[in-house]
Amino acid sequence: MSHLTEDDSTIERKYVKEKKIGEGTYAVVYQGKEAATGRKVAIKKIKLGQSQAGVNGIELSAIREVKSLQELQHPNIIELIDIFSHKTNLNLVLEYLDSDLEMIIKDKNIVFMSSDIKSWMLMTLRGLDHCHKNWILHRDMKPNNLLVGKDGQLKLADFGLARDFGDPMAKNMSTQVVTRWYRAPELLFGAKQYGYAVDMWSVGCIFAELMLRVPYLPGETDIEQLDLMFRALGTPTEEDWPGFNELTQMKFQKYPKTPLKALFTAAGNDTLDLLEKMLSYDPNKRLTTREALNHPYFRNKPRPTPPGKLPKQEKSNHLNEPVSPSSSSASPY
Amino acid sequence: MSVRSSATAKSTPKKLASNGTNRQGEASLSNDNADEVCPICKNNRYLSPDMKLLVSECYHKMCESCIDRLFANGAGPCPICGQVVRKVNFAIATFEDLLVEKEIKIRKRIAHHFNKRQEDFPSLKEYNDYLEEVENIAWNLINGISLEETEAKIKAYQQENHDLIAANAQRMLQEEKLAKLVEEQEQKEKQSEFEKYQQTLEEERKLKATLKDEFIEELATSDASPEKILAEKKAAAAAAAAQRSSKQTAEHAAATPYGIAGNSVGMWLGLDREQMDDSMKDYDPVATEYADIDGYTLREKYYDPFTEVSALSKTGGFNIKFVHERALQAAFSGICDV
Repeated sequence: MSHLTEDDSTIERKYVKEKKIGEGTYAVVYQGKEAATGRKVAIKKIKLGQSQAGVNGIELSAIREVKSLQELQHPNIIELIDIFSHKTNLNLVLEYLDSDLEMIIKDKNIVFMSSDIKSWMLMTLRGLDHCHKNWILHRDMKPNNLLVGKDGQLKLADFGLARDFGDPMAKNMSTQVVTRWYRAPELLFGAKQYGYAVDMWSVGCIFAELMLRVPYLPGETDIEQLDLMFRALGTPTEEDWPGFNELTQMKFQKYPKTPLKALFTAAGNDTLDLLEKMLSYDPNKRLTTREALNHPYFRNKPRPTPPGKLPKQEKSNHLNEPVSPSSSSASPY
Repeated sequence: MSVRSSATAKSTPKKLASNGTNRQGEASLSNDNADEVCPICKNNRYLSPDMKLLVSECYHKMCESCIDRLFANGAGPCPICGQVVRKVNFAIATFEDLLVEKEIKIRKRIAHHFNKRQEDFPSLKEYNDYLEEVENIAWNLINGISLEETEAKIKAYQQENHDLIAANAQRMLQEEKLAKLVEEQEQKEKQSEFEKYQQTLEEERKLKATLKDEFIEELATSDASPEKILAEKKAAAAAAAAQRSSKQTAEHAAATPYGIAGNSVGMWLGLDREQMDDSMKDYDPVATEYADIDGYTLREKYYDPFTEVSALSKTGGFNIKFVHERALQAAFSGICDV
């Protein structure tokens, strides 16, 4: 990154803002390009002193985003190209991608082949594996945050909730992370310390959504979220999840376990096995990214579609880097 | 799939035979001249060519004016068998033989509920037993044998298998959609191939014409003997043709490898599941350009008086190994040789 050697105004002059493509509580996103090369970029302008946390400095999620993205460079993670400040604003120059997985899932003109789903899952897991290898949790995995470029490459984006894990001193990690539909059970039960498994749960939900073409567990409230989860996967027992009884005082209706096959009728056994292990109640039994990537699913037929051959939207009207408050129901603290 | 079709074939033909002289109520159902005369008003086709004969729920024919008259005030008994019927439920018969009409309607209804597939059964024998049972139910309904009992059976089955029926129906819908897609794709490919063929024909024709013109031109202007010129032109034309054909085969080879036609359809339908792809043996799913930090072995337990992991954190997925491995990686990154 060049901002260490160049001063802000030099960097600023390298980019041209073209149009505003989105606005959220703490940032405005512009589409622009690099003047010298014409490369499309997204410029995320972070407003300072807007929110409570911002009064004494920069918005927390901006710090999280910069901190994580500076460490991560991977084909399946969005690239932070430059940073510069302008007056009191902080500007992040990010790679521009014009579509995301949510739009593709919602576009009913597109038919998914199982090989397409495998390809998207593969790219998602590779990106997430790189995060976890660097001890970073994404904490907001959802189709909306998986951007898809013109070349079909899928990239993890929006690291506004990301943080490190495996730090013994962090004894009070926030439970209000991850958009509710993709939130792992341990977060819903208020676990103060957790690990990679929260992201893997979200990936499991995304996997299911790719097959169903509708969100798998769309709960309206946290309680309803748990209820939906138990209805779909059976109410966990002390056997499924050792320590479960100590987690909560709440009593839940006991739903029986139904095999995933009942809902995912067209899926093969390898697919269901992977999904089941991603959606394991006990976070200690949930697959790691490495275990998931080495699952037979990825080696069995059909082979994953090459990114360039993946189905695309006919017309794209995407706003890069969603920053609307609705995109994440969780607060960034 | 081939197993399945043979299994179906095994149990169906013996009962599909439509010459069953032992069928109940046959006399009232199949009457050769029923087409011509309305059994109620005895009006016939000869006198009123516009007469339309419709079929009731209980498979009795009558003409439209009779239906209008009999069921003007809503539901009423069928004048032939006495079953209560409604005007809206009269339909135009697709088949002349009402027995066939009835059988098809019943089979459609049965197939709607009994939509299990071979994959839903652990063995072929159980699947065959199931098909036999379905066939018995259809037979009973068609011939009016122990109707109430059979209806109860259907209802019980429906309740028991509610989820599976819905799932299979959903799946069938999806398969139809895919089949349509594949067909469209094939149609498109055919169309484009045809256009390409037309194009090459046109090109060849043009080329021949220009060669001919050149030949005549050269005959007129050059001093060389006509035989020599002819031989030269022939050789040039042959070379051009050879080049074209080799280009075509190359194009053809390049066009086939991807696309939804061919193998992937079967896979999408899950017919060819769990097959290890040989070409995937050397495939690296992780495919990262970063080397893992190694050179250390993570032990099960360390002497660590500083880290406390409460039982609650453990349940929440916080593993003390994270702490130890992260510390080890921090220590080992960049130290050990590559």
